[in-house]
This record gives sequence, structure tokens and C-alpha cells, in this order.
Amino acid sequence: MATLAACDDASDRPTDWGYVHAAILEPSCATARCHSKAAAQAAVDLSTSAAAYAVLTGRVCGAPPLPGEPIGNFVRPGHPESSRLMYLLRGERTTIMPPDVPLPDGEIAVIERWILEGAPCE
Amino acid sequence: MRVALLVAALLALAAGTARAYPQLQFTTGATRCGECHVSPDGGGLLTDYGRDEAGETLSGRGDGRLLHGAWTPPDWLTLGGGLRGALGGKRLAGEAAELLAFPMQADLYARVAVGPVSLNVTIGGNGAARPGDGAMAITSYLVSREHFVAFHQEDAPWSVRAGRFFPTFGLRPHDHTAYVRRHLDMYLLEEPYAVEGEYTRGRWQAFASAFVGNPSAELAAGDRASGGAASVERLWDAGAVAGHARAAVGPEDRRYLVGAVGKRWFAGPGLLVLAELDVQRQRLATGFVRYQLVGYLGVTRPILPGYLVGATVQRYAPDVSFRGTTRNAVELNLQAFPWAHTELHLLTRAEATGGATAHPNLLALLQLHYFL
Repeated sequence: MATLAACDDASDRPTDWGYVHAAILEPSCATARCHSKAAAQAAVDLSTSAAAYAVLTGRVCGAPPLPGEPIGNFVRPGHPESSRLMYLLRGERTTIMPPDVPLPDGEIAVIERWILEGAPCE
Repeated sequence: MRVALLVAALLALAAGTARAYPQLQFTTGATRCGECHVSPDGGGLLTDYGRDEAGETLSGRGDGRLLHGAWTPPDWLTLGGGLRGALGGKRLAGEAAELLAFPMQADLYARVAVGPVSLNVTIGGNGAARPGDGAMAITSYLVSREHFVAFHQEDAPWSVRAGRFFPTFGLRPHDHTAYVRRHLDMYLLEEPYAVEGEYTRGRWQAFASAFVGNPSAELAAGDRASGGAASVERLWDAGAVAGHARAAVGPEDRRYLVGAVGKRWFAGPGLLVLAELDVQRQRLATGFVRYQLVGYLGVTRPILPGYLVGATVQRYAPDVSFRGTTRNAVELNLQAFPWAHTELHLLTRAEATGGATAHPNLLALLQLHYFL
């Protein structure tokens, strides 16, 4: 039934952070033993919108970007091709994330577009 | 000291799940969860009848009582526990195969009852399917997934409880990765705090609950939404149907769920069919609305005393109109209860994400389970 009804693709989905976090990252990644606040594997807490945005982009949502490139983040706004998050999601030259059930290509494409559009937080 | 070290080591190992085995409903003669389990929604501590069934009917060998009958606790105290580990392997599409060996569960259950009032507590180690990096808070190693106070007068048709537990609805299988748990906020450590009432009349049983998210992010996972849930089940001698609904309001979305469950035991061929279908409307804080679907269809057949084979088909569509995001899984299970207190469970699963059925993710896990 779900397959028959499905007719939208990634370009029909919003690329705002509210969608990226609530619809994709939080349910798929912020689980008890992975990127919840308590577990925070690899020091990555994706449990809340604010925490996830900060750890992925190195920025505080609502604050002006810091000068220079933040160290250790996963997203380079405007540049998905050099954003570590994309390599993790696709398992390219690194362990794929999520490691048990990778994201569908369509959801990865939404995240890629979000990064391409500057990784805004609103 | 040695005992303390042993207990500490066990608790440090793991904890994952303590739900019921719905595939044992009807196949062993019990029709209600509360016949074998202390809690009316199933899972956790076993009643005396449940222990007898585990020892005699299910495995046919051994003594199902606590500590194999070596010690009988006083009437006001009920104790139990579970220790579970797994080994096996997985292979994601396009990736190399990976061997797995990890602790899953090390739980102790206790119920202290004074008249109609009881305190129920589960405490255990927090399991991990992969090694951590040392960044975890100390509180996350030892968890109490359930703790609640219950009130139930003997022979009364109703009961209430308040504390931490999953609101009662749906099939609630013991496997937390089953889609009807994983994607319906019943995954690891996602138990909210709730108040729940249960009412049984004849062959009808109803649950209604109100819940709030766990206030501590250190002790819980999930989006910690607040809301309410209700379910109604109609039982027959060899089956049941149930309907349920839930509303959950979280910081980033509002979700409204309706679903149905069907259970039917076919005595002739010896087949138990379990099915659940859920549809959920999710409205994100940004205003975007999507509909989700979760489905489960399972068939279980007892083949020998103490041995069950089963197959399930599962589907999860996080967004039914978003092409290529649906996840499908097919499972084959073999469960053996060779002696009282022991279980071997071989789970094999092929799972396709986004319709890529030609290259599924494969998983095979042998779970070793011992309960006190």
C-alpha cells in the first residue's frame, strides 16, 4: 500500500532543518545506544534540534557564523561534496551510518540538498 | 564480595528488553498476558502459573520456579531476572560481512506487594551492540526501564498503575527491533512516565493511559513526547482482535496513531497468526505533514515440545508518499526452550531499504537467554 501511494521524491520534501532533524536524524540516529544524549557515541548528540545542529555544523542555531572553519564538525555549509556527514551516510571510505539500517537514498538526498542550500537552521 | 562482583559484572553487561512473547499466547493454553505475567500487559515477572508453564508445558524439562525451586520467596515478594547475549553476523548491502557478539540484557525484576498495592522495579545494565567510546555518562550504564506503583484488588475487574513503563497497546513483541516497537516509540529506553488504568470485563480488556516524556535525557531516549493512549481487546478462545489509538506531542512534532491487532490460533495445523497495522499522522513543528505506516504479520508453529518456528513480514513507511523510503523485512525464527529457564533463539532477517530488494541487509543472530 505504501509503495503504491508513494509518488514524491526528495525534491518534494522540505530542506529546512526542522524537517531534516525531526523526520530523519532524530528517529534514525538518536537511539538509546547511539546518538542519544546519554550515549552520544563519538561525542555526537543528535537528540535535540539544537544539540544536533551544533555538533553537525559547529554553529549555534540563531547565532552568526563564527569566522573561519569550525574544527571537527560534520557539515560544510554549501559543500556536501566535502561534508563528512555525506561520506558517513553513504559509507564512502568510512563506516556507514546508521550502521544497522542505512538511510534510504531519498532521505540522504534531502540532507544533501539541505547542506547545498547552506545548512540553515530555520 | 564475589557475589557483589558477579552481580556488578552482570549488570555492567547489558539490558535491552523485557517484553512478552506474544507467540506463546494461545499456543500454550493461556489467553491473557496476565495469566503468565504479573503485569496485566505482559512482560517481565512471571506468575506461579507462568513459571509452571515455562517449566512443564513449554520446555517439558526442569523446574520453572525461581532459582529452579531452590528458594521460595515470601508471598509479598516476587523476584525474577533475565540474562541475554547474542552472537552472529550481519552484512549490509555492498558492505563486507561483520561478526557480532554482544550482551543484550542483564535485568533483575522485583515486586513488593502489600495488600492491593505493589511496587514493581526493573533494574539492569545498559547493553550495547557495539563498543562505546568512553563518552557515556555513568548513569547510562545502570538503568531502570520500568518502575511503577500498581493498585489491584484481588478479583476486582480493574487496576491502575503509575510510574515508568510503555503504555499498553499493540502486539508488543519482545524483540525491540520489530518495526511495531522500533518505530512506534517502544525502542530501547523510550519508556515514558505514565498513569494507566486497565479494565477487564468478560472477554473484553481495555487500557487507557496518559504519559509524559522522561524528564532526564541521561536516562532515556526518544523524543520524550507527552500524550495519551488507549486500547481495547476482544478475546475468544483461540484469538483476539484489538484496536488502539495514541496521541503524542513532542518538542518537534505531533503524532496521531490508530492501529489494529489480530491474533488467531489455528489448532488444526498448529499455527498462530499475529498481525498489527498502524497508521500515524505526523505534523512537524514546521507545519509539514506526513503519514506513516507500520505493519507486522507473523506466523508461528510449535514443532516439538519446547520448539517454535516462525516467520514474519514487516513493513515501515516513514512517509507513505515519499518514494523509495519504505523498509521491508522478512524474518525466520527458531526458538528452543530445551530446559526450564533457558532459551535459544536463532533470528535471521533480510531487510531492504528503499525498495532495494535485490540487495538486502542480512542479519543472523543466535540469542542465548537465561531467566531466573
